[in-house]
Amino acid sequence: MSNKKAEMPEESTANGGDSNRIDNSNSGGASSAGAGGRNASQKHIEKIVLQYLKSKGYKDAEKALRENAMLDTAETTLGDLSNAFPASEVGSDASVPNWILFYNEAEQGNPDAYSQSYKELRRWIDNSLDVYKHELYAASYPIFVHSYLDLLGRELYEKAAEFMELYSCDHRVFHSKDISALETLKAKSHIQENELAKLYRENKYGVRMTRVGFELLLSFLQDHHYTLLMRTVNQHLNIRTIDGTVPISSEAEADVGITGHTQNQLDHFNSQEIVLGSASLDPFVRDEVERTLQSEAGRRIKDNTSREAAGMLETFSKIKQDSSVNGLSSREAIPMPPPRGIEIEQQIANLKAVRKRISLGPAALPSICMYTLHNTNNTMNCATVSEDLSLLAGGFSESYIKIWSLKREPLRGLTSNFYPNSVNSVEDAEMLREKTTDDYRKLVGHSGPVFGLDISFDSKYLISSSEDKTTRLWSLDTFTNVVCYKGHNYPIWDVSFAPQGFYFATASHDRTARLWSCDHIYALRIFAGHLSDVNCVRFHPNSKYVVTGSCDKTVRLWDVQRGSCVRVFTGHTGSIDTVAISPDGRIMASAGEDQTVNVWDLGSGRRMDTLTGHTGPVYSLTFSQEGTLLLSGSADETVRAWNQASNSSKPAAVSSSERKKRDAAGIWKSKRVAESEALLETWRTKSTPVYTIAMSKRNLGIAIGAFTLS
Amino acid sequence: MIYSKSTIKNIADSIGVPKLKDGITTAMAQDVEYRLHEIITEAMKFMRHSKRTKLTVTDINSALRVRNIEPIYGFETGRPVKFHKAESAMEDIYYVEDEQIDLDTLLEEPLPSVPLEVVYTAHWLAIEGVQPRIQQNPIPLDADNEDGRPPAKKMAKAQQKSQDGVETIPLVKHVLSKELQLYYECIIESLQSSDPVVKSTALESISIDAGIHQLVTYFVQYVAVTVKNNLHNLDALRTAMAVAKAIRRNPNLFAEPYMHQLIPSLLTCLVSKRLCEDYTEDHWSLRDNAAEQIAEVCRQYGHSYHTLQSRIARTLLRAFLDPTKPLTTHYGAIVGLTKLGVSMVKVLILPNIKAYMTLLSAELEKNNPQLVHDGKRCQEALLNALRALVDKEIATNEDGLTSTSLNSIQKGKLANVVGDAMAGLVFTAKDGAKIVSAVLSVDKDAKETSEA
Repeated sequence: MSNKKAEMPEESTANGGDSNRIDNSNSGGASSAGAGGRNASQKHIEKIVLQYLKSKGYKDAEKALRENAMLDTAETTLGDLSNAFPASEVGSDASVPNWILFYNEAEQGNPDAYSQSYKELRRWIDNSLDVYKHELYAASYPIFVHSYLDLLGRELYEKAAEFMELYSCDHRVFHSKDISALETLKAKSHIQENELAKLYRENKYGVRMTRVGFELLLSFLQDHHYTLLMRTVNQHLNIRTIDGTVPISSEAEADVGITGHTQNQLDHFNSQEIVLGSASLDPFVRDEVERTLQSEAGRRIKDNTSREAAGMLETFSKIKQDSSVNGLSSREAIPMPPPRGIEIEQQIANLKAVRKRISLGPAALPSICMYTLHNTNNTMNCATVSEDLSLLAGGFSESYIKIWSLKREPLRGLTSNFYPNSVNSVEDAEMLREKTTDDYRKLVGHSGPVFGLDISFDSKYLISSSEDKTTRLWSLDTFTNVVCYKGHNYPIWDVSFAPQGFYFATASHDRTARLWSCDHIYALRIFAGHLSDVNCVRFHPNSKYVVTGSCDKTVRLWDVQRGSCVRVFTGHTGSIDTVAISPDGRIMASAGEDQTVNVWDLGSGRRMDTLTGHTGPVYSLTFSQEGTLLLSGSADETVRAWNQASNSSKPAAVSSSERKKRDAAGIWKSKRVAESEALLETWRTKSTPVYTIAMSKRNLGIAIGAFTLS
Repeated sequence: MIYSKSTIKNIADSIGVPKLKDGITTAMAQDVEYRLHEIITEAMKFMRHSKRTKLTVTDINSALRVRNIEPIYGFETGRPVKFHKAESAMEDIYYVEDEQIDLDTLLEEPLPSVPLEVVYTAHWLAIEGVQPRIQQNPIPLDADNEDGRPPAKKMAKAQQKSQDGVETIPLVKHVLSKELQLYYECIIESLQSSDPVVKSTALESISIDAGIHQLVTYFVQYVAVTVKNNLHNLDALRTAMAVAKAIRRNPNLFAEPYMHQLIPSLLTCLVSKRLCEDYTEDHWSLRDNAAEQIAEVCRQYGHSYHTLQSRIARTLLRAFLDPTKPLTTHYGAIVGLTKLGVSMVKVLILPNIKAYMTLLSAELEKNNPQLVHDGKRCQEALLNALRALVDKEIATNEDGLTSTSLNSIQKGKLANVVGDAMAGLVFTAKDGAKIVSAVLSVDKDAKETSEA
């Protein structure tokens, strides 16, 4: 124990003492059942000493002890033990006290002990506080590796393989290379041959932990008598306690891992191939749009509309060309239901918008229309506008959703009681609408606060997620609840429609994000991997990926088809509340509690920029249509515009300057925040935290906030 | 540690577990702390997703519900919870006040009004990147101060030439729009022009324009500098007084904070030794004007600054009673006091007239034409001061005398009060009888009160 003391921090010494006491009493109790009138613990120690002598090859001493102590029954047990624990395993590293301290007969004999105790450890980490989760996960990696190697060493090959299969997923993100290498080990002898395994066996693995986190881990292992794991911690880990929080870093730190061996293999993980091109148009829609435009342009009477149509046709062919170069092949794209005609209208409207779009940039800042909600008394949780800017919706703590018409026209839903025979034309259908004159509607159905809202691209559907564990689809023709999707077992924080509708994704407190389609009441994919609540979810413009932000301070990119994680973005120092992807699908921005906005390159998974300046949690982000500007809305009652024009010219530039910025960003606590150079403009509101910021197709900014009396 | 061992013991006692071992209390305390931490972390998530920055009881209950624990009922309020400190010698104990509600009265009360419907309003937060200055947007000036950033267009008012080539350097630095700067320059130019029409137009603009609040400080500064640099230029002083008056008259300006800068200028114009090149010039009207303005200021702001009038009165009285001061100053002091009100005349001037008249007579006898000229003016001023008493006395309807009934007895009485010279003056005045009666009655009242 003496050599351990030198390496472990002070607290561990005290804890080591505790473990001593607990372990002895425990193992004593275990052996007392088998022993008769003899002092149980005495016999137990003798047994261990005997084992030790045997393992070291001190035959005479062993024999003497055996005779003196008259351990006749011990032979069988020891035989098992020596099988389970060959002498070679107790190498020069294992000292006598270590051997005695961490000896638990029940565990030693049980081939499932590693699997069981690691499973418990994993579950315990999963349930621990978010603050400590990361460091505990980091510490569990060497435990995992050594448990695996131990199992191999004990020639329990099947168990080892099973162990690897079950738990390797936890560490693949950060240690994918090492795990794939270790996976190939199939026999005890391989450990001796394999460079990597030897590296792990012969070196101590450095881990950084906070004081509390370390104490929690130790007391967990002690309380449950996981002596095997405890031994690994003692033998192979070099734990350094630090003050403050342990950063989840993507860069190798000097005292983390094994010196000289690259520990962090996140980059390797993030190098998985992804396709970021834009989604190709449905051939039917494409042809139909072309046909419509051509007939418009080719009309005999040359008026404005025909000229416009001609221009739009030009733009459309350009877009078509682009998509044929960068777009996804039909095999790559996710399946969509056949087009209903609304897509064609939508496409033409988009083309119109593109032609009328004001191009924005650092020199040309957008106009922003602010919608302020009054009398909310802090009960509004979320808000959104439809893409055509005709509807505004808000989700409230009182379980209802309220929709306003932004054109101040009455919202009249279709009634359901009519004779189908009497409806012969559109006019007849219009006649069937309700006779209300109110320009707002309340949607009642949820039984808990509504946390997430989204309106489909065609403004026909609204989807809402709530604390009541359900997601509901509302028709905006009838203003009624159409479908209720159940599946999550905890509150759902966010919901988002796919760009072309039909699919939607939810983010929940249950640490998963799920993909749904409107026509199925169960989830099509479950994206599991976040260590804590998933706070927000957004679709990639090509619908092939979803991006999620979580309380575990990471952002993940998921492949919709495979349901697996393909990118992990680390670098935030607080929970992530919002993400946004640029319309070209190459850049992603995330922000949240830590008041900074990070801009990422989706392709490489690297951080491109850290934008500081906000003095409150950031609630919402949006890119301009060209991706040259990033707008952010925050609790600090401001909307800020950030320059993104320079980013396109320097993709994935990770340099020392970036690191410096992060250091500078470490002083958030002071009232004055160092503002990034990219900050172009700050617009203040009158005591209105900005809940949502959006960009219309024509590059008009929309900000929504609830007026709050301070 | 949030909970001490003793707290755990107290709680255990209160629920009927009398003796807890030390080890148990420590473990309990640690575990409770951990659980609390857990719940609060959970509650914070609900707070954030409700887009709030303050944790509420509702958040805690939501967190409990998510953890499958029964929420704690009865603490949810719309308002933030207020903690009160309990008086205790040992430790700080806080509690939430729990009001007792009488159900009977509650039932009899009218129903509370229905909360207002949630509504939305729209406005431009930015138009092509520029925040319009509309009511819905915060005032940029405040924002800049709060932000601590240097304002984008910091244009401290540049040096301003006054009419004598004296530079006016504003002390305050703040954003002044180009338009306002132009306006200011234009106004100052007009004020200096010899054309009375232009001048009066400029003054009228100051006295009615609504959007010139930012310029108030500059105008006040202008008045002060003009008065200081043009003590013998009657025209310039008149203009300055007119500007001062215009600023005060403008209902859209909030001139109160600038009064401390304005009053010294007014006082200077009132009691200064010389306000013109030649004594024959009519500086008297300027002094009358200043006196009028000071009186107005006292009336306007006297209620918020209680000492204002008394301080001004004291200053004037000192000038009035100082025999070394020139007669012009005395004149200003007398006029000023008179304008401040009848009570000032009664209390401050009347008792001193007799002594002052002897001084004045001595001055008049010096045979200096200027002194005689000034002395006459002072006498007139005093007479006017006494005349100010009249109105009030007539109102009280005590006058039994007519102008014809003036006689030597009264003259003697009057001379007792105001001195022979003054009595003579009063008797020669047209409304002498009224003045006499007024002065006498005031004197009688004063004597009675002093005897009582």
